[in-house]
Amino acid sequence: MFKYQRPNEQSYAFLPLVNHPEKNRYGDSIETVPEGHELRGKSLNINNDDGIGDNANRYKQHGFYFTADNCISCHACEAACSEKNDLPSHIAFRSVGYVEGGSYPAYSRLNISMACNHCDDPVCLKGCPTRAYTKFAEYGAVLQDPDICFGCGYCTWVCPYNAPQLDQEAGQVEKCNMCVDRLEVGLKPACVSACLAGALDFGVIETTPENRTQLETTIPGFPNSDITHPNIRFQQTKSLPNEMKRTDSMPIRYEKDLQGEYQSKVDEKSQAMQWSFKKLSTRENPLVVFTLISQLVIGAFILLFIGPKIGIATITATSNPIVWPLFLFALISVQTLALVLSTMHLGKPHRFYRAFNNLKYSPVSREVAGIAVFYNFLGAYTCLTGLPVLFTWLPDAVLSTLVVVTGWGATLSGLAALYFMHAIYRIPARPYWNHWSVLNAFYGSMLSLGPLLIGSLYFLMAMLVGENNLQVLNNIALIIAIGITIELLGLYAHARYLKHHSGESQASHYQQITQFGKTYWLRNILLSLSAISMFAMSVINFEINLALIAWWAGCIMIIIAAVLGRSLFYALVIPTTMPGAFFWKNKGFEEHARESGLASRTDAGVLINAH
Amino acid sequence: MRTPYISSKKLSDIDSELEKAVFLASYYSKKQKIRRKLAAVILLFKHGLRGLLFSWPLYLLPFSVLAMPEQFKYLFILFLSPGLYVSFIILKKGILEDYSNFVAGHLLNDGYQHMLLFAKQL
Repeated sequence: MFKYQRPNEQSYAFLPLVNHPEKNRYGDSIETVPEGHELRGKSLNINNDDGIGDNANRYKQHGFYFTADNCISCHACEAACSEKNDLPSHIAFRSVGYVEGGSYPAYSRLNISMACNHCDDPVCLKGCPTRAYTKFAEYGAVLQDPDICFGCGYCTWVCPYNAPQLDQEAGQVEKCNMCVDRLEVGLKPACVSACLAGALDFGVIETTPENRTQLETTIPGFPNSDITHPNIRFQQTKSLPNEMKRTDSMPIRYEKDLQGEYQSKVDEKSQAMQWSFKKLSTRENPLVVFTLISQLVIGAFILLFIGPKIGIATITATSNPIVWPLFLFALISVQTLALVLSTMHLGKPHRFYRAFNNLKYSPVSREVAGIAVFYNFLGAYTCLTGLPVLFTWLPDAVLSTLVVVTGWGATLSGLAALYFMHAIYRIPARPYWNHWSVLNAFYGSMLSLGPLLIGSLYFLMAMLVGENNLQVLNNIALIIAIGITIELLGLYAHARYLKHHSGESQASHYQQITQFGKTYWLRNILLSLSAISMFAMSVINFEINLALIAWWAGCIMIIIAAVLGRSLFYALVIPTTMPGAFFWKNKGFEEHARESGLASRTDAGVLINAH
Repeated sequence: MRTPYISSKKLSDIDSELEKAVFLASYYSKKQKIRRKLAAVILLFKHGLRGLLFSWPLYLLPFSVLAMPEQFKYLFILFLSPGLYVSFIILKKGILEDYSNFVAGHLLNDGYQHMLLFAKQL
């Protein structure tokens, strides 16, 4: 019935029938669904085949077993996987990396072959906004449907093992499918069957395969298993040096602690402080623009709506009947530009609407929903207050109620959207982002950039009509100064947290003060100076020329600091991924391939950045 | 077994000449032709409505000229064009992709309208 049921299959390729405990080490049942459950007896519809596999362990959680002692890094597993799944050269569902330690003649190398671990608590599934992931009752496999995926790549951020692979050419993510078609006929996955050295095995989880004694969940270089409860077990009996190093470009090493466990630490290479402006430009550039513009528009709207209620009368519909609607429409235009940019960042921009599919779990869905609700309320509020000529048929009481409802609707949904925007980055697998200061940065930018726009417009208008009384700017400058101070406090706490949290966070901090050191300090100095300048403006009534200089200097400093800060935010993150020493899994190689033109060769596996 | 709303087998998947002939006879029948046309209309309606639902404030931009002096009325067209352009690109891609994946080369059975409207992949 299935394509992979071949004659003369070798005996080692078949799954053995073994006894297993009732629960795994995380306390979860190994039997995925009980006897008689509605999910039992269903077809996986592999290649449109509606047959049901006869594997006796179909409803048991399966997992990989890796014996590091035996792995010779021959890459046969990687090749078998790529061949079976017909993968292009820039994608690998399974890859082999290594860490090394000691010195000649006591040099040791530990090879690690890693694919998806079909976790008990799959963060990819929860994070995916399109609900492209499903954890199946069959074998406990976490499968992803590329036809549903729209290529946002969020699952590649949240997975600690770098299992989901973003194919920028196809505009979608794909990942290991546990070879469920082979499992259905009792065969082990292709990678396991291809392993020459007996390093890789597969079966019902918490069983001990032949020739093994250990069932560990840690190995040097493997991320903390608490994040996702991965279904992989290791054996590593040969003694290793107390310190193991990655051989890729990540400044991480692994040091044995008193309990004998390897912990990640920063691998300082005495780099000098640099600007690295070029490296600030990443694949996430559209997100730099999208997050900053959304914060600016929400901040500007909230000040326009709430300002007059708390005594900050900036621009109003009655006092500025021409500028008011134009300004609101300008906010819509800018927000639209940001939304279009963020949509173009997707692999399949025309499937943007799937972002709403996982409101229950995904912070991406919630953020998109929050922004969409804000955008709609903003549009409605703009029409009602900016184009009253269209609503003369509405009774005054109804119109004013609608204005209040849409105004508060936009304010609250905007605040909620920024909260969810921050939640996107609270990822345990990315320690650099996983800190409350992200919320400070986002709300801080809202408080500084939005009022900055309104203040600048107010300033220009005042200058045009020759108005010298700029008192209203005092209040706006105070809000901006508060916003910047909130961000600065967060940044200070963030730097302290980075130094002590984990190897990855220490490494991010190390790069922050070395590779990007000059840029980092420039951002901090600009933020501090602009905070001082805005505080000064809020308490001192400057003479007009001095006010002019202070305001515009502050504006330039804030904008430069915002763009630099947000670019650093994306450029500095170091995920808790497996060591990937080879080719495109090594960021250093990727950079080299792009610079040298090697990326133009399809077999190099590095795509030209075109996403 | 329930007949799928849209046949999963495409003409290109069929090897047997006899099966191909039976498939083509059905595929070019009047009933299937009408269903394909209706499917195109459903896709246009679905993608158009969804696009409008998510991007209607974009279409408000042209109305901002109502707040401007008379001589700027020509900006209406200018402000309308980005919305129309983005919608056209996204609509075109979505409809063509769905049509080629789920309609062209497939046999549309009873209930296909439901699938086109509510399937997760569309």
